[in-house]
Amino acid sequence: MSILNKPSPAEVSVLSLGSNGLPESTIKPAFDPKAIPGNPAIWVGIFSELTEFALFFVIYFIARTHYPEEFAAGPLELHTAAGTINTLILITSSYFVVKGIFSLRLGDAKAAVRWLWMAVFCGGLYLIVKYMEFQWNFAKGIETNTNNFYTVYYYTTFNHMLHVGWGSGGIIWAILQITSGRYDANNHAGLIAAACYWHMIDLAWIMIFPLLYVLR
Amino acid sequence: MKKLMTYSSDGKHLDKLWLLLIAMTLINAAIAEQAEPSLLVTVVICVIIVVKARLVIDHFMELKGASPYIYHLMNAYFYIFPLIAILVWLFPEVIADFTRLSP
Repeated sequence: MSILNKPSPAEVSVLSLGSNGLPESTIKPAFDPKAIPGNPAIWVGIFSELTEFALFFVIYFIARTHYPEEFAAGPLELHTAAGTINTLILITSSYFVVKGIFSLRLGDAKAAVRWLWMAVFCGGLYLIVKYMEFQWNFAKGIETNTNNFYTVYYYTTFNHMLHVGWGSGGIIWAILQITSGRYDANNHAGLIAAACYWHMIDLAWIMIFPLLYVLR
Repeated sequence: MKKLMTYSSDGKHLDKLWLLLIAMTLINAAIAEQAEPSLLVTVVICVIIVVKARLVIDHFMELKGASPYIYHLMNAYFYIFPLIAILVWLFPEVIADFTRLSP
């Protein structure tokens, strides 16, 4: 079974005109909706978010070349275990989300909801670990203006933390659609959209973790 | 990434994929804790970023069967930034000079 969207009613009606005698080439939609996972709007959002993170990465790289000592020493003072735990949490949450989708495709809505709640739980856990990490930093005297490395670190990770917060909200919304019966095995494009957004958050962290905690 | 995982409609392949991603994260953490900075370490870290991103894009997001624009754009993102990380390691002064606002 495909994860991809079915054509919207409007698009189906246009396509059906073709079978009624109009030349197919004159009625092609502007894009193939079947090729857009979730819906087109979520991909505008995902690429906007990735552009925002791209700016953070560019700032990181430029600052790193101008302040090499700060960027070599900075990661050593960070709580590597907290960064690692949050990486594991996000990867696991992505795994739970996709397991939820597979369960729903197989018609097991109860299992799907269970997997998705586990993903939301991971989102909450991530926020708690991040909060504790920030508190640990503050106790060590690592503030947003301590040096350029920590400014980039706080801007990037705090921004990412916000995304985890509202991304969890998106998954909760999809859960409510399943429990209310609006989403089932054949109709769950909104869940796919929320899942793609969630995976984007995971992907952004796959870049952020090595840049800020590992590379020196 | 196709050969790393065999698709199964019940999602069993995802379990192996998850373990693989966890293992790569732990390798990253071990590097962070123990390895001294070097070009080799930077390349290894960047390769891990690319492999992890491709696994998520191909198998979690299932973008392989989606619009090639989306698929290739997503992949390109996670090739370009690790490549920049290696370039920054190799030519930091050149990039610093290039991005300096005043001479």
